Amino acid sequence: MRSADTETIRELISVEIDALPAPPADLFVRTLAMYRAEVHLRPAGGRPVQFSVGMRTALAVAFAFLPPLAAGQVAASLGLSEPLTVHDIWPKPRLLAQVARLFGLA
Amino acid sequence: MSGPDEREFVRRIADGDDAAFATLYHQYAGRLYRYALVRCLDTDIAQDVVQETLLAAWRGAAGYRGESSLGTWLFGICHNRLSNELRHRRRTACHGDVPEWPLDPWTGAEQRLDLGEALARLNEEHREAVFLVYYQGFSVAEAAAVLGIPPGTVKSRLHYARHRLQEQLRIGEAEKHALGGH
Repeated sequence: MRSADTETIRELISVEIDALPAPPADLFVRTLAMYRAEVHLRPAGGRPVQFSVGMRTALAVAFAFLPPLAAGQVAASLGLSEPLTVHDIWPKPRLLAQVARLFGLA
Repeated sequence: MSGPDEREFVRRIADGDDAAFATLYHQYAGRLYRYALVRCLDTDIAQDVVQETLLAAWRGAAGYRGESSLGTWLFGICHNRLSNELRHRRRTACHGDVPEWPLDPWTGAEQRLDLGEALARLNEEHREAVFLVYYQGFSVAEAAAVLGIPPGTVKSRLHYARHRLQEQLRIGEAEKHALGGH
């Protein structure tokens, strides 16, 4: 280690960073859920569509629950990840809060 | 993926294609997460920033012209999000000990712990330059584009980081020898 040159440092750094934890499975679920919600709220990435409070509540509930369930299927059908567990796809408080904020309910 | 393929891929994300977005996530979330983790050493911040980065990519997808590679573009968004988040948190944060390297405890070989500690002791600007060039494999010019700084600054950060890492590792070695001698 005394004469560690750039290549040695580079290799050691790669080993070190490879050993860092991967993102948790529920991050995929939450991110896809938010994407689905935003796609419906802002068609083509434009200005948000204006909905009544009742409609926003209904949509927020739908987007907090349905996309997480669908996320597992999307990932599995694309062969992108291990099957997600019920714990992974069950909506977390963080997701509920994010969706509520997105729909102007919190 | 070539430039036109990347543009087409990003267009599908802009159109609300679940499969394209899921693919984007699986290609980049792990790398962006590690980048965020190396820079901020905090798993909660890293998760939030990765999610925000990918959602910002969808919001900005219509404007993606393929002038930079998809990877450079995403890391640039991630860098800016992380800078904003850390700036915001620092207003109320306490400054104290060096944060711990967030290594999975099950994979901690002795040498890794030495280097992890040395990396954690670098400041975040040096850690991110090291990550982008030495780990992610970006050229100095690409890393400069991600960070929004001149290439010369990236080079000097790398030079300093290398020097500090070598120094830290030498100190660690010397301490081990000293302890072993008693």
